[in-house]
Amino acid sequence: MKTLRILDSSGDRVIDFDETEPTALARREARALFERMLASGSTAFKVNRGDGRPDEKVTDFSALENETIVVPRVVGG
Amino acid sequence: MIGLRSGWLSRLRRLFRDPDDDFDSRWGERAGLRGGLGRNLDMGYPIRAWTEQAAAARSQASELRARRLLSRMLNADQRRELQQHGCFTVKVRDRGIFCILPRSTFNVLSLETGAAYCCNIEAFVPISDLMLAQKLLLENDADRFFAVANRRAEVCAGSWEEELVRSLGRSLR
Repeated sequence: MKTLRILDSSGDRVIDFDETEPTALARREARALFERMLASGSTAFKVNRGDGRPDEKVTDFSALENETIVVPRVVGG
Repeated sequence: MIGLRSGWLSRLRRLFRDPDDDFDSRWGERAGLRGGLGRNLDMGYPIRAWTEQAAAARSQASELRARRLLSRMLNADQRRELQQHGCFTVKVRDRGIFCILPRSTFNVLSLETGAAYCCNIEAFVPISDLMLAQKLLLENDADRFFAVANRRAEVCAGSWEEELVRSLGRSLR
């Protein structure tokens, strides 16, 4: 199971999905949201990758691993 | 999307010209939004949704949820610093060590130079989410962070920060 977390006013919004048929709807929702958010300037990071591998920026939905955090667009304050 | 944004912008302008205009409800009707749909990230931002999101981001429940996520994403040293000081440090390749403070503006401090950086998320998020976002950017996409962030050259803003930096400096040695 893969988890997509989008930081928002509630803390984060979570979508769980995998490659199986029962989660097809969630997978489509996750893909659409991921691509729309990155297109609007958000940044996504693979986290908790296991085996001591460091977090990593990701731009391709098919490259997502166990857990991904999407940071909405950042601006200078 | 552009149509929606220009729609709410023009209504916002009208609202300030005509205070009796029921901006929120008319925005929702015209945009064809019902129920929670109006809160979607990219559907535009009427005033009520703005204030609701701002309030939610400041709620204790949101902050607790964000704090749990932040704690889970930190390494052992950073988690210890967060528990002891309420903030934590991030090592940035070729740029040194930065301290991320629990506040919303100019909360990233260079422990080498004392300069403060301000890089915020455009959406309303709890402070712990902002700290997590800054950690992820500094550790994995530092060029983006420094390209966006505003920098204040002065050394810290008050005695609390100065003591904190001294304390962190001691624990890092």
